[in-house]
Amino acid sequence: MASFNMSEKAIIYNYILLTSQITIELEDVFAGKKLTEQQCELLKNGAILLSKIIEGATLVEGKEFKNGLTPSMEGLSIYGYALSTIRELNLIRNIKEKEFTEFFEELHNKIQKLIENRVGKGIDISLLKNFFYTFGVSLRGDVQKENYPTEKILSFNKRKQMNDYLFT
Amino acid sequence: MSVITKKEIIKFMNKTKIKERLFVTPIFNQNEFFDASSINVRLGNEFIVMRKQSFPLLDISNSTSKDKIRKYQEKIRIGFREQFVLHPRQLIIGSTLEYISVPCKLMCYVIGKSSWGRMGLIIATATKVDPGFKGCITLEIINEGEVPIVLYPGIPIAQLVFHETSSKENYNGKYYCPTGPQFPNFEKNIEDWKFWFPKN
Amino acid sequence: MTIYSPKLIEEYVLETISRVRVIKEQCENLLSKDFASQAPKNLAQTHINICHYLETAIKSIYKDIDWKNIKKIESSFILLQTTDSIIREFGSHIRYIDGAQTQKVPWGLISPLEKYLKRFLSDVEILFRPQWKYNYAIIPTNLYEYYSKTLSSYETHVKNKNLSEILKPLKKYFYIVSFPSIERENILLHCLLGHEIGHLEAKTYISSRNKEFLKLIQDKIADVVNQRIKKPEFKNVPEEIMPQIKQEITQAYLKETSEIWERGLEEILSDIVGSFLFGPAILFSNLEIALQDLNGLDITPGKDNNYYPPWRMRLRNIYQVQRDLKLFPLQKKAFQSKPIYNNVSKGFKLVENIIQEKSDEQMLKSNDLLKIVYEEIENDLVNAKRLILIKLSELFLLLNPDSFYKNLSHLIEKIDFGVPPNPYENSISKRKPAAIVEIINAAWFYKLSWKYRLFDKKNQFNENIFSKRERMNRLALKAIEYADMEKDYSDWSSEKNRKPS
Repeated sequence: MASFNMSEKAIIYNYILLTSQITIELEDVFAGKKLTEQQCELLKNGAILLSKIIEGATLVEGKEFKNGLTPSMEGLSIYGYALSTIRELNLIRNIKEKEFTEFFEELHNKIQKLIENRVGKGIDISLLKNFFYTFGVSLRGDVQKENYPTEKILSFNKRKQMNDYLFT
Repeated sequence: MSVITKKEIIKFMNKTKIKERLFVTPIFNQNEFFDASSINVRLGNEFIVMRKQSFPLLDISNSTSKDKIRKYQEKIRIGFREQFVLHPRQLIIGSTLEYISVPCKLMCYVIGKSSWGRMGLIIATATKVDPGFKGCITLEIINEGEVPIVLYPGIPIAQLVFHETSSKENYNGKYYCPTGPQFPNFEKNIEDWKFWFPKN
Repeated sequence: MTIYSPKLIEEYVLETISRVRVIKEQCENLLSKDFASQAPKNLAQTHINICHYLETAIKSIYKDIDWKNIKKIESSFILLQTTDSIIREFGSHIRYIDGAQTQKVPWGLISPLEKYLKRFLSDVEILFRPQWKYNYAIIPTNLYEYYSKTLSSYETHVKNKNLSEILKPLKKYFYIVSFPSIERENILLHCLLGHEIGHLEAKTYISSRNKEFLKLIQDKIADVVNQRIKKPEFKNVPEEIMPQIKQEITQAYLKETSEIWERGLEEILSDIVGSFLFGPAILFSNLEIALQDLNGLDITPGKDNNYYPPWRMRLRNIYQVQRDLKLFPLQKKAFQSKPIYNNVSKGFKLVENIIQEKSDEQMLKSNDLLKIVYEEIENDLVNAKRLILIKLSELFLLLNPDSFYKNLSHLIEKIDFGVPPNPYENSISKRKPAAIVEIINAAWFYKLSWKYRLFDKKNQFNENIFSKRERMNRLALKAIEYADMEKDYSDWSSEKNRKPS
């Protein structure tokens, strides 16, 4: 991922904290406990995060924006981390071409159902838990890279290669 | 030559040719600015203060005196509407707020305002300003009174009394268009004064 | 001992809280220092409040750890680590406050510059500070929003403290603008701060166009990606992971293209705003900076150069603004001094020659993605420029060549004579404080009018030119300070006379 500016960093920090908090609360759900009002509020933020990811996916897949979602830079950036998460969780084989949007919409529906029902019965909590946890790992990795960047090696060839990757 | 009065001062300030003009800037309040035979100048907001704890003595014959002066004296800036408290026997170097350009046919003296003098505040010890001088005039300020005095940058602190010179002279001094108080500079004179210093 | 042992976590929390307290103490020390404006102290006080807030949050997170569940311990520890990372990040902001101390900034410039720029962006508070890195820069993120967004995650942990109270000392729009420390006394380049402020206006325009741009390039990028994955290096990729690869490449291309568009448009728009605000001075100062670029005037926008548009293009746009405002060609009648008129005109002509070459445009057209992006930028510039012009006109900030050049000669003459270029005065009864724009341009025109050689006929280095340059900078800076004071005093005096005694 490219390094980010301050406003992106605020978003990243926000999401790292959110995903950690959600992971904690989903442990309670996994253990069969009923969600409190406060926990539901937290999960609603999780649903908003998933909406952003869906925005990114819709844009990348060239699909029609639904449910009041619109193209956004935040969605596009966050979607990169979501793809990283899919890769990390080895979910690639579960998703066909041009169905990434649907995959994340499914996740969104799961979390909405959980908020409504307040219990995890009939919902794949494992997938939600793993997704949010791994998503957080992906974000944290980039913050760490940002805080401790490796030294750039000036090389004509390296620069040429980077530009070639994108612009040929 | 006699002291020039307000009317003449204004004439010099209105001269068309820039080289002949007396420049004073800024001017805030013309009523406060002019006296009958002088102009009032204000206290600037940069000061050189002494750091007595730095070293025991100041000897200009020493070749490292310039560095030592910088150790002994420190430039500070006081914001407008902020206080500077001058304690009894304390010496500071300040300057006029105003930047003055004296034409070649004039010279002036800096004289402290009597109100301050009555409180023990001595404004200027090196008082002469040569023809052709341009810059903020450095003021040596010392509190000879018994109590600390609070100074505020911007307040009228001294007056300039002008004389016409018998002939035109150009400024040939050490300080080049200063815009604040200047550290003492003996470098130009040291070679000529070596006769009077001990032989090492 | 596992990383999640209570003892290790407890020690970690202790150290984190220590860091918070050190930051708080540093900020408290800084509150006793002198600054040229209120902005640094506001930031210091805000950080003191944030430190209290985060310390409470850390304690709350620690107390809430469910030691019976290893997954919960792990996630709680991540919360603590992230909070610690935020604390360290916020702690690094102290350098902004520390750097803004009076003796480190051209303090005579700060207040008048703030006032001038606030006419353009009224609700904004700006902290000016030097940096040793050679760059004029703005952090275009609103610090208030940054702190607010980052800290909002802790609202469940810090229930009795209102975030808006914590951030109260900061204005709702707070930005950091930096200038190179070694150029502190160089008044001529400080008009580049106008470009930095321009970033804020540019960002407003860009965020209003973001969505449209993303929709616009969707299909074009899809085509580019489809071509890309036909290349030999993708031949052996297993079919089942190809969808993922395609998604990743598309996401990367879209993001990269958006960044090129944003950066390119932002820089050029900022140049345009600076150009409107500071006139010819911006053109000449940008030329000076452009000459420093080791990559030359036609660098391809890319990751390595932060997607900056080529200098030639930037100069072209700045120059065009000068022509739009009719600031060039120079008005001959306004300049009695031929050297000034001739040499400044030569300066403009030099830029004209540079921008007449179209090598930058050819370079951009030769690359498919850059071609797409820069065509959009061209369209955006027409629209954005029109909006900026309207705004400046409504705020009476548009430079009028007649009044601008009328006073300039007099101010230039003053610098040459060794007097601060303020005020404009025919006589003692007809004095008018010069504007900051006039003073900076007078200094530029004065410098451009010099006839000098660095080495004389005897091949001796000409030290006098440095004294001349140094004097010019000091006098111009002093003039800006004086003009501001005179204006303030005049306003105060008028107010005093209006009030009944």
